[in-house]
Amino acid sequence: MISIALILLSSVFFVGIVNRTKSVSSGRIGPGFTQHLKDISRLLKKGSVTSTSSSFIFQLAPSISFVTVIVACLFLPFGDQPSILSFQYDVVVFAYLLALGRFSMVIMAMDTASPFEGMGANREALYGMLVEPAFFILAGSFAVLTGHTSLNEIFRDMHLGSGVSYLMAAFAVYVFLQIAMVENSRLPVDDPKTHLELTMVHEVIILDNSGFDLGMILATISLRFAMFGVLIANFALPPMVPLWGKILIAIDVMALFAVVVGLLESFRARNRMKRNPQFIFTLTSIAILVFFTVLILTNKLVL
Amino acid sequence: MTITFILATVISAAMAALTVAWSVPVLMSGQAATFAYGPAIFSIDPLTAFMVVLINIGVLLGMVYGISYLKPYASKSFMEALVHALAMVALHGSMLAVTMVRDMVSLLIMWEIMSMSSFLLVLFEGEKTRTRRVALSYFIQMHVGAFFLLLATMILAGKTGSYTFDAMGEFYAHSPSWTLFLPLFLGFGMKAGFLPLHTWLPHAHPAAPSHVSGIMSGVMIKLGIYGILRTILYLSGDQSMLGVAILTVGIVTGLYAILQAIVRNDLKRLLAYSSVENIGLLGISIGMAVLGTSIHNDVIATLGWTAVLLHMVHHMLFKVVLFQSVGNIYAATRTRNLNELGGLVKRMPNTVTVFILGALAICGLPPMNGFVSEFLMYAASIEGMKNSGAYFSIVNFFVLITLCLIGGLAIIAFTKAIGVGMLGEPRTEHARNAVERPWFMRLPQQVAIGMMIVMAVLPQFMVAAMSAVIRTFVPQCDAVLVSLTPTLTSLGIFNASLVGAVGLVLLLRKIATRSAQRRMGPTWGCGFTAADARLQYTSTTFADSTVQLISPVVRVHVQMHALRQADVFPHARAYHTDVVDVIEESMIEPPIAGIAFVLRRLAVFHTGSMRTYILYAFVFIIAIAVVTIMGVI
Repeated sequence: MISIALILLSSVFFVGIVNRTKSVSSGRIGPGFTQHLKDISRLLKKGSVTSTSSSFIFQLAPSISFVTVIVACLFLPFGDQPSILSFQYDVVVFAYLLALGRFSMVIMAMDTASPFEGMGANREALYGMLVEPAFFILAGSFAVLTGHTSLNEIFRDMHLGSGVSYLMAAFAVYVFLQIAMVENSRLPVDDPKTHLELTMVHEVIILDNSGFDLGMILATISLRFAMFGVLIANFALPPMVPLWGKILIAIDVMALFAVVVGLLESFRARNRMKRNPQFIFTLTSIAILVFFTVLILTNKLVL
Repeated sequence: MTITFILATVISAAMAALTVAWSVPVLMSGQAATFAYGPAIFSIDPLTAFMVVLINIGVLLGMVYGISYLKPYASKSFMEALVHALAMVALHGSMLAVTMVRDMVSLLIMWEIMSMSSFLLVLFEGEKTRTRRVALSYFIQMHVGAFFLLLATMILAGKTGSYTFDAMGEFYAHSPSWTLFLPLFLGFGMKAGFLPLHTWLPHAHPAAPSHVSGIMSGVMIKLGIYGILRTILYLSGDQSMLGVAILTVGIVTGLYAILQAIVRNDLKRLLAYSSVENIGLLGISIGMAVLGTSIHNDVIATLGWTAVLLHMVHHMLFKVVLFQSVGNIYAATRTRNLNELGGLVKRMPNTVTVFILGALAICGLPPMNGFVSEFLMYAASIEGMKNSGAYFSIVNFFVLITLCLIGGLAIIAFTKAIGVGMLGEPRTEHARNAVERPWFMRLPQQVAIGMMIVMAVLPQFMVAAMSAVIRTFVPQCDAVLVSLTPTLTSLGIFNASLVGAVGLVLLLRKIATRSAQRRMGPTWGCGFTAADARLQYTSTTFADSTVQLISPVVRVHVQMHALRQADVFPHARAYHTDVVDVIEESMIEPPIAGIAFVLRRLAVFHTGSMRTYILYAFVFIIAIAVVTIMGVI
């Protein structure tokens, strides 16, 4: 319950913090803190132009993508506070919801008949496929570590006791951070501010969306960022701290997450397209490190 | 043509009604019904009953579709129509019989009828040279499979003196299990399509008419899986090595096949490879289940077997749906090449919607039924990671990676099929002039989609209905099934509410945009200004970035003449790509070419002249005389 409230709240500020960090680090005044909110609310009211090539898929897909993220958020707990939806093995559901969102956005892009959007769609599907193993390895590792299979129980029972486990958590947080960057099509895999269609991934998929749908897509991105923020914050919530303390910690972690994203985007160049798969494979290999650390921690693998 | 096929359908329906009436009580009570016919024993135990229901649903859906699909072939002669209809009934009957027999000899006979009748069905458009070649190759490959089964029969009878399945239990108890399991696995795996025995599938499915390919892919290859399941039932003791072996074959099959599916441009061939991929998924689940049984972990075993059985039903349904949708598209456009299609969503909205739902299911995405069985596979592998030692953790770790890679790759393959083939603008006149098929031709797919939705929303009842079958594999599965029921119930509610949530958001969207102005306009100009729809992203380019990552596994032959500097006024050029199945090219074809080479060399003796043959006989007589005189024989 708290996590969904936090996600909604932080999604409102997340892009603001990122933009502010970027403008400060590049020495600009930059857009106002609430500019993205104004953008979205303006878009939600605006009329739309729909491509004559497109069909009902084009109308449906943004809504499906939006719903998948909202529902995925419902599975996220907040420390030992349970999530709204939870059952055994719901880590799988969480990942597959995001995959469903991707599926709908990919065919939506193909629906416009534009070759640019086909290109973006193809990249989106490819990167999404490549990033999934990292997520599942982490989820599986945590299941091994805690002996539970739902996000609720995993985060309730994940106590960081030793130095090794802190190291593991650090790796995991890094991987989740990068998964968030890939899933939300940010640097270094994709640059949301690029102006050349040939180098876009996500931006080129939504080239033809306008009005309410575009607003909804932008809102989806903010929500998905905040969702990964809460996921990462869950690593930093010790069970003995009172609830208000946890909320404070979570807000701090998410603000930090946004600042890190902003700094990454300011100081890092984007990868060449051909290097992206390699970059994402690196995430998988770090996730494998986490997995073996967990095997050692649980005394399955005795060295 | 149609009348004979309708008659065949009626016969099949009667057969289905009879066998289902026998099977349902078995499924409910778990008590096997046995009846003898001469020396052959027929028996319906829960596994058979399960297969009977699966076969009947799949075949009937296919035959009802066949009635309308065959309309354009009215020019076929009465005999051709009769052979086709009879072969269909024979296929149906032999598949049912394969699941009921309890000894190897009867199995071989039924297996042979099954292969022969499906061969005749593939041969339906035999006036095409290509179809004849494919059918012949199918015929030969099926007999290679039958040879392995014959070998297994001989090994079994040689050791135990009995042909019955029960003798298998005896055999496994006293001899190393792989000596019998390997030939059986090769024989059954040939039908199922495990690597590297899959090479008949991608050829036979496109050559066969769509109702047949739906039945072959949805139902017949499951008989191969059934054979493997039946064999496993007689295994005892620690079979973890065998489990890991099956699992490995499954992993390789699944990954290889889905990569092949991504690069295919022929819709039916893409679907055929995706069938192989699903056989791989089934192999992985079987492997996990065998492993779970070996280490006495009821949770893994139950999850694994439930996943196998559910996925068999699910795959049967969505594969029938997908093949029939492609059949509709082929009937409307006379092409299955993705690069010649496009824009069908506006011309054939029902067919395309059904295809998209089927694709969602086959990618294992919520809210369709494929998600439920893939969910169980993930569950089994996560349980395997957490409940056992490092070795099993690492094995299941590979399973987990494979499952999510296959899932992601399937999304690429099917978004390609949908995006290039059905959305956007039509690329050719064929696609532009496509019209929706009549309702009767769409009905079987809609019925199947209806069943799939029920299975997606109420998976707990599906599992409860199959509990007798799961019990034959894991006798003590009830506790696990009880603890699994709430999860499955929530999963079903989740699937339903996901659709509800999308509906709600769409409603809100409609209300919010009520007063907003909506205009239609062309797709954004940059990148889509040319009038020619061939400018769109093609199937080949969509697959290209994946191909670059996995180039040794997928080989693309490119034929093109590059522009030379001397070509001041270049003229028209052609660019042709051709994807080959690497396994077929490097593992199957070279030995066959080798055999053919040796045989051609031996053909010098075959002069065709009577004098030479008399000479051979003369030399032979002298040779015999010499060896006799020298006392060798």
